[in-house]
Amino acid sequence: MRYIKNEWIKLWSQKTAWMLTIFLCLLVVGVGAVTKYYEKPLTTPEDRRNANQAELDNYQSLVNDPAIPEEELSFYREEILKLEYRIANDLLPASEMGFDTFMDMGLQMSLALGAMFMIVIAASILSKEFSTGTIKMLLTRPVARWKILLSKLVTVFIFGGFVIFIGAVLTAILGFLFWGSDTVGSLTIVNGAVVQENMTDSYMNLILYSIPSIILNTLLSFMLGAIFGSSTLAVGIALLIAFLSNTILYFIAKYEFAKYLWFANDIRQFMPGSTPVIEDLTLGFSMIVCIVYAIVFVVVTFLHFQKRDVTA
Amino acid sequence: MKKPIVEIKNLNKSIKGKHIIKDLNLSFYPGQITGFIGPNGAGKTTTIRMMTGLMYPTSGEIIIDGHSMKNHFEDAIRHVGVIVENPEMYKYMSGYKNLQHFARMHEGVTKERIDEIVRQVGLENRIHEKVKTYSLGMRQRLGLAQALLHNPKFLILDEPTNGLDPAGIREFRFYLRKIAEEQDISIIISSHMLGEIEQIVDRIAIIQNGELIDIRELHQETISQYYIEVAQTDELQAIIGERPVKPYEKGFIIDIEKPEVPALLRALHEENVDVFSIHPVQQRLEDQFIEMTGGGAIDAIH
Repeated sequence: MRYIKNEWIKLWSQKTAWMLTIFLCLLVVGVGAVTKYYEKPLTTPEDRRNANQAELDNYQSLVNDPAIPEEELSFYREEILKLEYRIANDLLPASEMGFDTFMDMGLQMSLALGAMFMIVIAASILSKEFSTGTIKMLLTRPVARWKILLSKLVTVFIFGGFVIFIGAVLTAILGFLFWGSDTVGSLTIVNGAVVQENMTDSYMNLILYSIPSIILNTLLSFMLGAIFGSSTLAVGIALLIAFLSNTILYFIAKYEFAKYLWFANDIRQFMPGSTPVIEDLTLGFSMIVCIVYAIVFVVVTFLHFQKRDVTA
Repeated sequence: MKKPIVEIKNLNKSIKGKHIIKDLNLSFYPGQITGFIGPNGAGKTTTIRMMTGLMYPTSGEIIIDGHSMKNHFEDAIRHVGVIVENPEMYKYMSGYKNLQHFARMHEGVTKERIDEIVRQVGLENRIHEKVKTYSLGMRQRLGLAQALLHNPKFLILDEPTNGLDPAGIREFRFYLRKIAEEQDISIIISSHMLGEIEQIVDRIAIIQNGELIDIRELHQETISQYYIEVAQTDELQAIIGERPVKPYEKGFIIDIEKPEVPALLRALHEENVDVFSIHPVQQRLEDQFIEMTGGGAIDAIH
């Protein structure tokens, strides 16, 4: 615990951690303020009803148009059902920003940036000790090397959790200030009836399904940082894989080995409403692949660090 | 003889097929300051890195305070204080926060102990400023503070006087002597700056090409040579007689034991020989060192 405290203090004594956190906050505030500034306010129930009604009329006329093919008609009929539900429950039109849609966006932004920041910190938290030579002051203490390494890894995860938490709280506060309790709601048709999704469940799903890839990318970056001793190289490779994984997958999806790569098994593709990139993947299989890679990354990092001669 | 605090037994280290340390055996005793010297590339730093756990021996073992470095690292290193080359501190934090940071990695270092050591190294006025504003001398002092924070029984200093001004070096020397005597700490100082080392150490261990080539206690050596400068050299020759003598600068160097010196002076006085100067000649460590390692080759061996 004391070693984690040490790492935490060192992390926040440097500019990087502050800059990253402030950057995320500014982005959330900026996006919220710009959206709020340019939107036509629909503050009263009448405004909302009129906006929904206008869209409803539009769909009505389409449904009555004999030139529309039958398969499209069912889509329009569903939209009409949803709009009627919106009017009955005083919800915002789907195209507008409300508390819940802003919350969803802010969470996605916090998770994406939080993941990126964790990659950056994971790569530098150890390699920086090497490049400044402080590693020899750290390793000549009565503390086994694996404890020092573990305290650094744990600190990266605490930092990530903290940044994402700050982003989420700030989003919630801004969303409440700008949109109050105005909600858009996420509607689906189940057996001909409109069902409104529980927003808390959807936030939780978003977070839970994102966590595995965040953890894997962080472990990868931590491993590269420990092996190369250079944060630039580690950050570069880890960010490249994190951001280009979909492009890379597009080219290699047809090969059998692709489904054994960790970034092909991003758990987010199993979120309700998404389809996996490689069709025959299942949630269970992907979970196992992720866990195996996580173990490999951690074991390689710790073994390498435990055995190496420090010449910094 | 006291029980050694550190024992190095049959230490070997190979890096990429090169045999860098060859069967090194060395012990260090409480209260004794040992100079660890050798030409560049002789294996000083490699040996020190193995004693501090930064590198692992290929074979052999290092036992500190009865604990093997290999099997009980935490217990072995617990009583060791280290400055390896320049003390690299976290520049973005204050000196005090640096000390707190390292204190958290030891058992039982109290706030009072941190304050005490800050006073001892004379940093109390600047301790709350960031390390990046410190001069090299202040960083060295902070380095010493972190090494002594946990009251070590064994202090390892690798090139400790780099960047200290002469006054700083004198103070440093005095301080090391004091803690070695008062707290019975064993100290090892590696250096190639022989002139500085010879005035601090009790004994020297000389390493060359990864092998220990000599250990000697410095204070055992008695001075048996004197330099003398006189006006009438012929009379001097006559008085000295058969003694080995060699001209040196304006005078002579005579092999003579200390108790014989007053008699010589009386004889010179009686013969009306004018004596300008007489003083003992201390063969400097540097000369001995060059003698042992094969003359002038301080930097030539790699």
